[in-house]
Amino acid sequence: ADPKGSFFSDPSSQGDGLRSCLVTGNHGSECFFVSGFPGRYTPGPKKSSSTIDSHGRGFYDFSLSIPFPSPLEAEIACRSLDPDPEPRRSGVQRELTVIGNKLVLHWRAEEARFFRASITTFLDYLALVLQTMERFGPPEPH
Amino acid sequence: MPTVLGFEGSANKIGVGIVRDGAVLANPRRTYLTPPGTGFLPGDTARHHRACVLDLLHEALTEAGLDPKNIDCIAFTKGPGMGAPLVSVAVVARTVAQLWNKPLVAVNHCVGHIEMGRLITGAISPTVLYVSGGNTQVISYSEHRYRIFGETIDVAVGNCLDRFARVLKISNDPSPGYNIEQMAKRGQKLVELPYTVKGMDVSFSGILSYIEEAAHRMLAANECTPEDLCFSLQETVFAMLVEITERAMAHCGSQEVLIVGGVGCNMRLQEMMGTMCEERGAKLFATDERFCIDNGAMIAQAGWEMFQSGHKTALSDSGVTQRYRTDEVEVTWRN
Repeated sequence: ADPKGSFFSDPSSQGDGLRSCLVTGNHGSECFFVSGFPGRYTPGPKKSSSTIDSHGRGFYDFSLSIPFPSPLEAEIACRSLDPDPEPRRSGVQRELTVIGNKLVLHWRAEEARFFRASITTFLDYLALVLQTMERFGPPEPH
Repeated sequence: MPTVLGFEGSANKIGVGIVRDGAVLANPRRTYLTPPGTGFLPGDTARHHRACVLDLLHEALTEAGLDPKNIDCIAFTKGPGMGAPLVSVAVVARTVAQLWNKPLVAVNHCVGHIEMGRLITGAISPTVLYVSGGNTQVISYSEHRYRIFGETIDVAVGNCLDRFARVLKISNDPSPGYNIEQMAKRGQKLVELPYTVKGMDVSFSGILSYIEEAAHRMLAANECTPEDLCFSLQETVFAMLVEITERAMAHCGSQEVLIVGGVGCNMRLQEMMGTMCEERGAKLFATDERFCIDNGAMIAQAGWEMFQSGHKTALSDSGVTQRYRTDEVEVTWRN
């Protein structure tokens, strides 16, 4: 089934619809887990929703917040992940911000496949940053 | 005397190298291998790189006997290359640069090959033939640029060889080009193939289509052996490369040739180039597989030159780019 179709046609299934298109294609599956520093990190609250803009177009929205041991580490992760832009023709808007010791991520896209690809790819790089910090950190005081 | 750590991962090799004032202190490398008949795809290659980049970094530091505090600068490949593998390596370079509070330098992969070749061979101002799986260029230095005299107008010579190897299901271990080279030594018969030099440029895609079609037909009819095809393909494409290199030398009045890039460790190419150089009274410089094939030290070496002449890359400007021409870089470290 077209995840975008079911996503918009049945408001009650929105949450499940989004999660299923992100992860496995099965309704009701759990959202992904970001691997990090065992014991020190827990995945932040996840929020997803759909939005209709003024032209009546639908968007997929997804937010994720990752806590770090300190604001410096959150900043390092942000500056390591932000420089590589999304492919332009994918139409994915990605936003990274640091609030306190949290890295706050937000995605917005029109097409489900680009939306899903962008998030899963990004999470692979995020996991790599966390592993790098674990093996070669903690950061020298700047 | 700065010590520079370099990360390379623009194709199916990943390497981390450490260079200090012309000495290579460590240069470990891993290659992502796929089964015969298949090539490497960006997503799978990136996954391979992410899985081993941190082990390689640890290995390089241990081998060099250095602590992060002994490193002065972090260099990484900005491009050209495959997007996902480039990002996978750049992300680690940016993270350690910030963790250790070191400056970052973004390096052009092609310039990395040239600087490594110059360092290892001691060539002063050579005409450079840069031949690999992704690039085929004849380059000459002038006025702070590595200028491209001639190049492929379609696929790279290494890509032509790799894809031919897939047709014959030749192993990718250690590399398809190496295995073609070994088989070519047993070739007896020269199968005539298209010879496509266009002025200063070369084309390989037509040769590839031709030999892909001819291979099945001729092998089925017992008209030639796989070894004959390997031999014929090498002779044809290397002759084309020698021709455009010689023409560039004549244009520049150059008496030195430097071969760099993964295809550059092919001994038959070096032999043919050597014959041409001998006839012109010129000198040939080439390196072995440790430095010809993509490696971290070459990025560290180009990074060392850039760092010494005052280059630093801001994190916000450190995004990778799949297209990045050799002549886009201002060579501030040469006269």
